[in-house]
Amino acid sequence: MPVLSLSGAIQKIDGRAFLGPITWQADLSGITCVLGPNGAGKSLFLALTHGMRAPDGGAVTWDGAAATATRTRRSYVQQQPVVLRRTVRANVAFPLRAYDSGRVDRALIEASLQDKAKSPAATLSGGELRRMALARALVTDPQVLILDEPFAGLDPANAATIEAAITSLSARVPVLMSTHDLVQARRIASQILFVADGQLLEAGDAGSFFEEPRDPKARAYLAGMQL
Amino acid sequence: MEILTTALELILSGDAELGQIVGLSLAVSFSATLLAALFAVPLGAALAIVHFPGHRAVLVLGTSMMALPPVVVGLAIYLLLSRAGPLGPLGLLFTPTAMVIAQTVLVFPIILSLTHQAIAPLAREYTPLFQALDTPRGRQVCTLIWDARFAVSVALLAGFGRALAEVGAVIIVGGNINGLTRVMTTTIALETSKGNLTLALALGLILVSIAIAVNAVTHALTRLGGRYQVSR
Repeated sequence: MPVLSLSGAIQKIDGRAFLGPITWQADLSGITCVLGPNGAGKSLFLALTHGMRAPDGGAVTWDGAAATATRTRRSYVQQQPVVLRRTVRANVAFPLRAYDSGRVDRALIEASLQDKAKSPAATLSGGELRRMALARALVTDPQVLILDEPFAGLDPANAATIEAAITSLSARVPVLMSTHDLVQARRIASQILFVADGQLLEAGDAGSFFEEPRDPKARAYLAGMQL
Repeated sequence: MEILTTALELILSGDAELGQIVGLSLAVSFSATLLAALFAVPLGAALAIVHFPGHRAVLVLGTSMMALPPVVVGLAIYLLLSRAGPLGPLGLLFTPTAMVIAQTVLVFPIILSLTHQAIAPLAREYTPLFQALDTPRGRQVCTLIWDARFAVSVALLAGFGRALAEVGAVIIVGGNINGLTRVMTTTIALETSKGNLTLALALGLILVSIAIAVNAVTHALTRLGGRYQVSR
């Protein structure tokens, strides 16, 4: 299990500390959901843990190595997945430094997109685009899968398909994801990280978080109150 | 009307002189476009992803160079290539090579600016993926050029059209020598001044036909490129 460690990690925006300082360490397994209100810093937290952003202070490491230096070992899927102006197959193959047809085929099959492989990615529906982004994230066999609001803007049927895919994947790849859907988080998460006002206010077992949140802001958030 | 008929007959007759002039025009303009594209396309893409102090000034300079007066460019190249100039010993003045150099200078800023304009929005769209995958700069440039290939082709066609229609610079550095450096535009200017309107009109018709063909290809490429664009 990969060990994520944040030690006084700070992320600034326009010179102001927007996130942190955060100190936290955990072995990641299953699905870890990052919860919090809009503008809490969830996306920034995910970008920081992935390594695509370097902390402005403190350190973020995976198994002792700086996250920025090892970011290719993790896959990150944006809230609005980037769609290359290519075919679906070329999109899925893009992260590979050396083309591997077998890997691409497996990723396409896993995402049920083998029939669309030759179509321009621009012709896919919203749900199919998310599946393509998942396939692209999986093609490199990442150690961790980081997903920023993977269900945003999807209809219930597509959201259910993506949820089933993520749940199935989490058996072999730890998933760190943000979501606004509390019912879904309760259903699939094994661990919860609660972020508000740029701080990690609560982290722990999902059952305990939903039954008995310790932080007052977490309680207010679960009660549907404006923070 | 009679001149037009004679001009059309001249085109259809497969006149050798006409063919030689058209052939040289296409060869010079094609070579200049290719040479300019070799540097301008990667540079335009690189400027879309690399930001540095003075980045905007470079872009403004590039765009401003599109308005360079061809005669001034011709004069500058002439001074460089003339016998007393720094490149005089190469003996390139009044050769097709000199015309290619002049047209390359004129076409470069057009291809650079249009390529940058086409690639900059795509670069903004792709940056999160490049960051997440830690994509090397070289691969980013190649990816952007390939994915904007239709728009980049349009930039090349615009450059080719500009080169083909250019007269001021090539007449200065080429000298409009019969059988050696005479191209469509310079011949039209010369033959019109001599009163030989048939040849001038025939070349004019060919020039306009090429411009229409280039425009048609540009439209087709733009439509083709639209197939790969996501509408959010």
